Amino acid sequence: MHIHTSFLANRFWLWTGIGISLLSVAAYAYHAPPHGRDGSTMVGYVLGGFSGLIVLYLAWLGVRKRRFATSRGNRRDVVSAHVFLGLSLIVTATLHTGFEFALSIHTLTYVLLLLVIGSGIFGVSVYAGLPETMSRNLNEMIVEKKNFDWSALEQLEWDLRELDRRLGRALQFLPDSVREPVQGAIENTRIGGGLFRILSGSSRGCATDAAIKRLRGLVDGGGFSDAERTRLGEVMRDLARKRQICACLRRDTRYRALLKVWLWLHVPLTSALIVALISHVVLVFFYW
Amino acid sequence: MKLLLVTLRKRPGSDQVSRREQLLDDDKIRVGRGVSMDIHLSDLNVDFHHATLLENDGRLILRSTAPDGLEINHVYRDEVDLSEGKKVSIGRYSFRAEAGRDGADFVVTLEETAAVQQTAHSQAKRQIEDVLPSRRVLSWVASLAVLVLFVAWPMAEVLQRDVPPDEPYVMDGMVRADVMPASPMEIAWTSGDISMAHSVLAHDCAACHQRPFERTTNNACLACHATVEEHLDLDQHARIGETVPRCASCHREHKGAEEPTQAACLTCHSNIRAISPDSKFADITDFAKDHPNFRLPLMTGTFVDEKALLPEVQQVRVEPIGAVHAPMTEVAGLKFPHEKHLVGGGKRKGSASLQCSNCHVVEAGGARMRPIEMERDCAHCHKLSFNAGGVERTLPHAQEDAVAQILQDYFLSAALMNTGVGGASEVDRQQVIDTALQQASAQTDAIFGTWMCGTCHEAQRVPDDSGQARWRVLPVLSGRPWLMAGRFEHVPHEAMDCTGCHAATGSSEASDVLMPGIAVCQDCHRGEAEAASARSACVSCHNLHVTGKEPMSPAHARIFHAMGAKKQRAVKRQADKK
Repeated sequence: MHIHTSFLANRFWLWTGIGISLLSVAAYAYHAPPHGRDGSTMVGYVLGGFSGLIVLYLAWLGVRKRRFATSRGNRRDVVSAHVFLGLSLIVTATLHTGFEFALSIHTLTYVLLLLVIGSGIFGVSVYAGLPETMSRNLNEMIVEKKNFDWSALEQLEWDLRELDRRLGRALQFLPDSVREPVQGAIENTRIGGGLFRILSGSSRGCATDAAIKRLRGLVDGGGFSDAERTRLGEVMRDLARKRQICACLRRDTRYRALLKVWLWLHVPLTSALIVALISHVVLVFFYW
Repeated sequence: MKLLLVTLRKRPGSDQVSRREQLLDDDKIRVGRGVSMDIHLSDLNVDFHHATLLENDGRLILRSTAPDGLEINHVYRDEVDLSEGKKVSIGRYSFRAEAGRDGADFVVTLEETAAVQQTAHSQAKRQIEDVLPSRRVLSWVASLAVLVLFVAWPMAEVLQRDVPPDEPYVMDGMVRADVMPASPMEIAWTSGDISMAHSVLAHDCAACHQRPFERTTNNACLACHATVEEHLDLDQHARIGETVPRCASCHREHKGAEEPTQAACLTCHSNIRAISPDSKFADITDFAKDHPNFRLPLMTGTFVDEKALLPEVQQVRVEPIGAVHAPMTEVAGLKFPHEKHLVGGGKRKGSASLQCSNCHVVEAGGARMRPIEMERDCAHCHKLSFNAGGVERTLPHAQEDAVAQILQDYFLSAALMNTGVGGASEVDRQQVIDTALQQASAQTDAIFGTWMCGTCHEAQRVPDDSGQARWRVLPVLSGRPWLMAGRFEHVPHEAMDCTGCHAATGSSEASDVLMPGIAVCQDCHRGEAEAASARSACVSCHNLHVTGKEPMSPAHARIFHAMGAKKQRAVKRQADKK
């Protein structure tokens, strides 16, 4: 079990979640009121009330585990409670609905809950798998660490700056015909940018890649002296290395985004869910 | 040309400027990016060989060899006379000439502005926080959207509504004068689809939900359903509580269902004696499982004298339970072999064997069969014609005295015509009359007793008030409802074969009861638990509100009837005015 996924190993909360789910199913199956199983039966009220309390408790846990300074107890246990109680909500809340759905605030509350849980499941899955992938991605790209204190990411950033410097210097020996692609590779190579670029990690339209292709055409066209040809060979190697590092950093950017992007659903929807939940309870009894 | 080049370079991140002087001596001094240039400008935007400095008539000229040219105050030129003291830019470098000194013809100051970081990869947004709005803002937006859209907006309208007082009132003609259509989003408060019967109220929440945080009241229901009858006698159900039960405890209007479910009935009827110890009903859990067999109102009693002509009715359960065809008989008052009409000789002239539907037709409304009428259903074959003297006379049906009188008239007139009334003596005449009366009486006896009326009916001679014996045909007991507590409609069963339920083809007596037992129904109505079943919920056959019981709320019924009287008076007043 890796350090990132150790929050899934907590047996106490795992069995608490399973226990809550099994108890709910048993209560739902046992209680068969005359008008059918729904949220307004005794078991329905209990399941609904319990689900609501869990939602509020988990939202509070979510706030608490971000306050590192004040958090008491083991933060890993808190995350574990958050995950397993959250998963058990799928069972308790679904049984509370009695499988009756309509275009209403009540179903909206349920849908919001499912979206929050779904985004949370996504979050758990990326936490479980991505950190390892991330460090492998960066470490595989390291050729030589210039500074012991630097992280892999810092080293690669330094490599990129060094490559740009070398490319710029090489241009001082090369005619203007090769300047544009190389200058483009130096000045226009982007990592990240918009939401799509970040989340896709795509290298499409990479200026360095374009430069390599254009330079290859120019070199094949000939017209360079031997010295220039040697220089161009170095430039091509540097560009290829830069392309490689950029692709790696784009993947890294994507992984970092994936680790967080679910929070943009999870947090605002939780907030909306709490409002919908309170409205649901009030309105059910408002129009009793 | 000797040229003193003064290079001023601002160190990045500080105000310090480094200064370097260099003497160049050449006719043409090349300026550019290339390392082989005389003045080397380290800027990618500068061409390899960008420009050349040369002397022309004692003036220092900077001539561009690059397409980008030279920039003076944002204007691009190919050639500039530096002697005029103009500041010319190439890339991030600028040139300014001064008068020569220290043995140099010209002094050129080359100023380098600090290189801005040009690489784009470190500038592009790489954090997801940079490209998405803040989660805090999104949370507020989402929460407020839910609050405003689903609560505040509809609530603003709901709270402004007038509500009727919580006391019995009755809607005039079921029209809500103060109807306030629901706010568009109020519909989203629904807990489920409204029942079909009340779908007209689907957008009028306030019709039933009148006051906040109050369960829908019976007053709201009874405002329209003022005269609805009770389901039970509250006196006999002491344990159910003093008050009228809530309508909504049986009628769940937001379950989408059309009618109360069987489960609602079973709440009490699966253990009826728990709330009504003296109940005569059996406990029941499902039509297919433990519904008692039908109890039929059978006619018993004998027809000895006129007073006993109205028979006793006895509720008799079809036995044994589950029997497909009840082996039961009753007093019918009719001689009618179904068998003979359907299978054997009974044939209409010029048509095939009789069908059930030749006589039995569902009456308007679709529930029961219309009663058999002799003139319509029987007379086509069973003609009441009486042939005498070559003239056919038709006797009236169901008028015993008239039949007797017609026969008497006929025989008397025939006798008198034969003898000649004037010629015969008094004694002879009396003899003729007596003979005629005897003939008439014998004929009447024959008609009633054996061949005409007697074919189908049982008739008796009964003395009237003056002591004279008169023929009386016993009443026929057909066309009455068989199921006293349940509803049965023939129309939905039309596709079925009549004899599948009613064993008419094997019945030779009118006294055979042809009502099927419950097992016949259960062939198709297999219970609520069975998916492949015809409807078999309690309310498929039984009315929840029992006709003839007290109104649910006497107060509402009183208001309703008072309103009716008022309305009638108003209508009358209008008619009087006209």
